[in-house]
Amino acid sequence: MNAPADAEIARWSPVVLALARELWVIRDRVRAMEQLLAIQGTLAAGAIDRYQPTDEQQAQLDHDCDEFVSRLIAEMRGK
Amino acid sequence: MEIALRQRGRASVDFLSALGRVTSREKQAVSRELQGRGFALHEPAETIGDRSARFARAVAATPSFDSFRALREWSAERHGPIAMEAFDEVRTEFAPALDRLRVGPTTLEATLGDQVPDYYRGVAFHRTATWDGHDYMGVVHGEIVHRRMVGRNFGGDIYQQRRSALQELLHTSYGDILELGTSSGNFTVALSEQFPDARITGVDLSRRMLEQAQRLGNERGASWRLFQRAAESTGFPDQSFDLVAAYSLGHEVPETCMRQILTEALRILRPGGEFLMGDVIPYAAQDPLTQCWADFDAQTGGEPYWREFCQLDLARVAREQGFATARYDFARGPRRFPYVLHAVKADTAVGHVGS
Repeated sequence: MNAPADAEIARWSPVVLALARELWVIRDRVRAMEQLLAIQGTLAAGAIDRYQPTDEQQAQLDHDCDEFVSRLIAEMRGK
Repeated sequence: MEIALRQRGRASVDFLSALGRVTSREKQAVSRELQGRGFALHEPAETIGDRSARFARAVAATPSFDSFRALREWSAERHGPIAMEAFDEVRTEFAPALDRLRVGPTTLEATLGDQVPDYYRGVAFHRTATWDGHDYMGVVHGEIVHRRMVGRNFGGDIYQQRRSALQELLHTSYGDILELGTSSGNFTVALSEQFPDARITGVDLSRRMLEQAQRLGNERGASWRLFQRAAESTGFPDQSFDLVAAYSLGHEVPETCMRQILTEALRILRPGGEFLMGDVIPYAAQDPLTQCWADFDAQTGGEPYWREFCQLDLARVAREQGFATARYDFARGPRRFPYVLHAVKADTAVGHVGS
């Protein structure tokens, strides 16, 4: 591996790992929430895994996801 | 069979679909920047390869290219594994029903094993994986990649194109139909719906894709006969079919194989029989910018035979191979897709088949 590539990896690795840590914290929190809701009888076990959006909900999800990715790309392009 | 994905797989597929839409917009941005810089779409005496290389250098220098490439490369690399992972999350739930659909009036003879042609062996078409890269690859490709990822960004029923290709045919019924490159069976469905009384046979090199076609056939109570065989070497007797049809097969095989396919079709067609193939649009029918992008996408997107296929004049090739008449043009309808080859074998009984 050449030196410039090493430098790029060294620069971005802590950022990626920090984001990965935060993502894991959120995954752990969502899982805890699901389990507590199931224990308290608010949510059936596995209900979120099996959830299927309606066409209307899917259209809203697609719209939101487009915006999410577009914002990410705008950041990549420095806008 | 509708495969209801778990939340993780479903949201991941949604994310990839969004990437596809945003990537298209990024591509348009690159095109605008390219045109703003005065990129010359024509240079004298330039080959497709030279132009493609010049185009690749020019797009790489545009401000939007890095983000476009990042999106495209990640999608190309990850869509296959993500689709397989999404299926694996629901495998235990759906596998029994999928396996039951292998039993029924549609039969499958898969005896080719590893005896596949070199042009097919180990090629990761579309960078997804090989056509047999997962034990339920027909479901993964047909139901998740094609229907949920590609189809969602296609503005309607992606399989409608297959039905529009059939409008070129001369007759309203056929006795024996052979489909070449059956894949996961969606063109077979179109043939079956259009010609419900026909005896339908299908061949493909991928056992996993044929297994999914078999499920679609049994789901409909259809009696298709499916064989794991090469389209250029079907093994069927001379003059045993009235119609030989294919969809999206030509650009997946080398030019030499495409010529062999036409020769084979001519051999197994009865006098007056028809050959119909719907596929991607040849370069000669595209505007220069679309052509540059199509070649760029093919060269970087796991389409090893696309360029040679898109340079063929298939009407001329079909006549060279011995068909009496051949027409190669856009499918009828507002979408102008796919491009369709319709060729007719001479009817020796009457001496000539009109166009």
